[in-house]
Parts: sequence; C-alpha cells; structure tokens
Amino acid sequence: MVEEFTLRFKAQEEWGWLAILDFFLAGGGAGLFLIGLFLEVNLALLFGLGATVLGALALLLDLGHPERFWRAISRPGSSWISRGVILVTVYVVCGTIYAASRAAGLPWATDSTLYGVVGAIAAIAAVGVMAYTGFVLVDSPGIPAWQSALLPVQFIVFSLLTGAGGLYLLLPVLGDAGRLQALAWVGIGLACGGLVVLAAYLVGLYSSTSAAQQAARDLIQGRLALHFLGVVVLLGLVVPLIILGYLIVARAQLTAAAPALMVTGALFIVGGLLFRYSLIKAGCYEPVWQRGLF
Amino acid sequence: MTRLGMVIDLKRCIGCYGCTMACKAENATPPGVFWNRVLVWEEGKYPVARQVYFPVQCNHCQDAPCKKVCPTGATSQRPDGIVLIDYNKCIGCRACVTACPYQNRYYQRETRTYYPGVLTPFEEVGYAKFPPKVVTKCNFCVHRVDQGLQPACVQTCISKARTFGDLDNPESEVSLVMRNRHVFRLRPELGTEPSVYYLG
Repeated sequence: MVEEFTLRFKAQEEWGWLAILDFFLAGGGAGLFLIGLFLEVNLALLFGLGATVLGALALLLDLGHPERFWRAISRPGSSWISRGVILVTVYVVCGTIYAASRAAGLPWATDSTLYGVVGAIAAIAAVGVMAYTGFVLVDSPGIPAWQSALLPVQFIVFSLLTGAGGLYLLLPVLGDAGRLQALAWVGIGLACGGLVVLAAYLVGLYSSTSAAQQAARDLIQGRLALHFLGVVVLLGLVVPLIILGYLIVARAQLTAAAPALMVTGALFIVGGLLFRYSLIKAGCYEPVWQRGLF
Repeated sequence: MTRLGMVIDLKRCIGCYGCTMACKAENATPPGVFWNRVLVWEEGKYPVARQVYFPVQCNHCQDAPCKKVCPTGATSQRPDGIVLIDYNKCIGCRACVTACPYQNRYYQRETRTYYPGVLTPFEEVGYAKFPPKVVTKCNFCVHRVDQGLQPACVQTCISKARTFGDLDNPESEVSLVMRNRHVFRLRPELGTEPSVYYLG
C-alpha cells in the first residue's frame, strides 16, 4: 500500500500469466499456421488454429467479465485489442475453412481461386495476430519499456520461432525427411533474427528514459535475468542455433536427427513463452514526477 | 465551450490527506482503491531538507490514452471533458490501467471489505454503485458537479489548495488562480493534455 503514496518505479501487475498465455498461444499458433501454410503441412495448420483458440480462451478467463467479451470488437478505430479480436476471428474462421477443406479432400480445395483467396485472407490475418499483441503493449504510454517500434517485429519473429518449434515437434511424426535441411535453415534464420531484434531492443531501452533503463537492468541483471538471458536468449536461441548448425554440417538424416529436432522445437517454444513473460513483466511505470523539479 | 478542470496549489497543500479521505467517504471506494492520493517524498539534505506533498488523481486528459485503448467504449468523455467509465460496458481487460501514465486507475479482482467478511451499511450502499472486476477511477464527483456542487476533494480542502471550474472561461476562479504563477501539468511530453494543473 505504501508504494501507492510515493514516487518510485512501479512494475505493472495487471497483466499476468493468463495474458501471457494468450499472447504466446495466439501468436505461436498463428506462426505455426503460417509456416504450415507455406510448407503445405496440414497438421501444422490444425495445431496452429487449435493453439490460437486456446489462447483466446486464456484471454477470456483473464477478463473480469468474460460474458461481455463480444463488446471487445466495438472500437477497432482506436483500440488494438478490438483489432486483435477481429483479426483472431477472421484468421480462425478462414483458417478453419481452409484447413478443414484440405483435410477433408473437398474438390474446391484443389483448383478453386476462392479457396486460394480464403487461404490468403487467413495468412494475412495470421500475420496480424502475430503482430497485434506488440501493438497492444505499444499503446501504453506510461510504460517506456513498451514504447518501441521493434515490439511488433519482435512478436512476429518470436511467433514464427514458436511456430517453427511446433513444426519441429511434428516433423518426426510427419516423417518429412526431404525438407530437413531447409527447415533447419529456417530455424537458424529465425533464431538469428531473434537475437538481432532482442539486441536492438535492449540498445533502445538503454538509450531511453529511466524507467526503460530500469526494465533493461531487470532483464539483464535483475529479477528477470534468469528468464530472459538464461531461457529466452541462451536456451531459446543460442542452443538451438548450435544444434541446427550441427545438423546441417553433419548432413544428418531425419531418423537420427529427430530427437535433436524435437529438443530444438521444445527450446523454441519455451523461449517463446518466456520471451513474452519477460517483456510483459519488465514493464514498469515512469514516476509521474521527478524529484527536485520544483 | 465548458472544459472542466482542477488546479492544485502545491504551496498551499499541507499533506493532511483530507482529499483522500473525502474522496473515499463520498465515493465509498473499497480498501486499496484510492481515486485521490497524496504522494509524499523528501527532498534535499539536512539541514536544508523538506517533505513534498503532491496530490494526484485522474487527470481527465483531453487526449486520454485510456479512452483510446478501451476496446468496448466503456471509457468515454463528456463534452465538458470529464472522463467516465460505464461499468456495464467494462469487460475488465485492464488495457486502460496499463495505458494510464499516471497510474490512477484501479481494478478490483474481488470485493474487499474494511471489516473481514462483513459489509457495513455504508459499504452496502456504496459498493452497489460499482461492481467488482471492473476498472474504476476519479470521476471529478460528477454526481455533485451536475448538481452545481464542487468535487468532494475541493470542498473539503482546508488550505484551499484545490480549485475546480471551467478552464475555458478566462474569468473563472480556476483560470484566475493560474495567473502570474508557475503552472505545469504531469508528463506533458506524452501529449495527453491533462485537465489537472499544478501551481509550483
């Protein structure tokens, strides 16, 4: 209670694990869907859609009044949450039609322009679902650590990483040996992208306001260092890079590489979850006034 | 056009917390919810040290970030500038709580009482006004203002540190007290255009 009555950095406490799960499952599911769409892996489409629906359920549980959830589409002109709800709805509806038609082997899924259009709409909405959570955070001017144009980019990169992780877990089940090298390269590219955007984000934090610098200190050497440096960076990006690099250099076959791929996939997924946790928990408010100014 | 706002003279504030208590009494806010706070900190070093009292509340910003992020339209602004929350529309997503740079919004996860497990008659009447699991904040005592009265914090201030009125009227008391004084608002760099002004 005392902290309400003095000047200090105050960590945001409103958004916790349920919001983090929503950000993770919705974004990661969209990432898996998108990768599955381009690589034509039907199982990935279904798992991706399922994850996003689970994320939406987590968001519903997080609401104070979930029975009024339908009101959340009322302000797409100004609110990123409204836009996000609409994007998730479009993506799930179009994606389900697209994936279910293909899974059921319906004739229109082979040579119909309309089918392609439905897939394209689902893909565009999926990109929106990956990015919108970043924009939701950017809309909080009181939390300088979230005032970065890189945030939506980071959420896209880590959603794709999570999606790639899901695909790595599915690959041994699918037995798709022909694409092993290509998939390893995709993972390497995304992990390198993740390292670059995180480094750029941290540099931005250190050159911003005092609350942003406090967030950077929390991430690098403070209360979130284990989550961020230990899990997101080391286990979620560096270790997978080493494993995938080894698989490429050793020209490993799928049978031999399956356990390593599954470990890599699991690391991508855990890293994706802790990335969202670290970023949301690092958010702290700038004090409303600075000492000594009057 | 009327634009309601408040001026708080920091040289008059004595840190009595009368505004905090008047607000709680008027609006029956539950434990832990303070629509009106007085921040306190120390400045300087002995022997030249002092304690600073700094009252804060919802700034009823003209370009309110809380209104922008609200996905349901529960947060709205009247033509006179008062920012209000419709508790029947609020879904409890707390986007407005994180968006408010002044940390003046409160979300109640559960109904808390001042005496464990027991609602006093005052609480029974007061808590009926706003349900749990919605976001609440200062509303400039809109129910009093609409009757031509002053907000409770202004009415109760023993040192007359608070003045409330029409900021657009150059002859109103709230405009007059700002003349020839050092006037500032909180976090002006954010462009939220608060309707609460401070005299330093």
